[in-house]
Amino acid sequence: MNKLGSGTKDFIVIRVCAVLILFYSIYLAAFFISTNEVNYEEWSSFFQSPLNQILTSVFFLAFAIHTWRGTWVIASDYLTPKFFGNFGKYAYLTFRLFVAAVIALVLTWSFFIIW
Amino acid sequence: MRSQKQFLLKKVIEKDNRPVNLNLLTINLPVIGLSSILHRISGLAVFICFPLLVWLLGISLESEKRFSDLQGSFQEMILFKLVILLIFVGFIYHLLVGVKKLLSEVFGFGETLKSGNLLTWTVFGLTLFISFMVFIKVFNL
Repeated sequence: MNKLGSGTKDFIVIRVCAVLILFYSIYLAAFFISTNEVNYEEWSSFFQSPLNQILTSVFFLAFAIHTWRGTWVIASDYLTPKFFGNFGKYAYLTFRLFVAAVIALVLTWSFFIIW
Repeated sequence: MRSQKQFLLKKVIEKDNRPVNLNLLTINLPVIGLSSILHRISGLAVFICFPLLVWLLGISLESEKRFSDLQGSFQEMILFKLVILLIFVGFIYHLLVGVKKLLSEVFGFGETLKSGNLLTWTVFGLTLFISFMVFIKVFNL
């Protein structure tokens, strides 16, 4: 895929994931508002229902993709040779590695919590 | 034709010595620009804080005892409440600016200076309002 194509894909993917995160947030807010007292029973049965397990997993996946692209937008704007000289390349790579580690941590951890 | 075009493009890039000024401190940032840079900052901040939230989710679902322990320390520690509240404010702000951006991309809302300013102040106001409501709830006021 050429550069223009992948940029368009990024543009759409980041927004689709954003909308998924928005919907899940509204869904979760609705749970909090409709539940008078959120106790362990309510809380654990919410996350044990198969539908919510799937929705929560979709949320975490959308989070991973959205933040991976979103942090790229920031890094490619500021962690550049223009701002950091020769160090720019390494600053960019270090930051991307850090982001990848955080996303990998969140994805695997949330997987074990939910399933 | 194609190679000539690329040659010309290369020439333009080589000759390009326009000043680049992305130092935000030297720009008199309009409120729409401010909301945009805050969108980036809040997004990054929430991203970095996210493992903490996953950790807390894990504890809360471990057992009934762990859940009530967590609830107890949340009620006792003001710092705990403040950190969670701060992450919430960052998240809700990022979410609302995201909605604003989508509205302008899909429907063309807020594309003039006037409507853009209005929409931005609406987002600031809504963020404050929702944060205030959650603040009252969290601190049992």
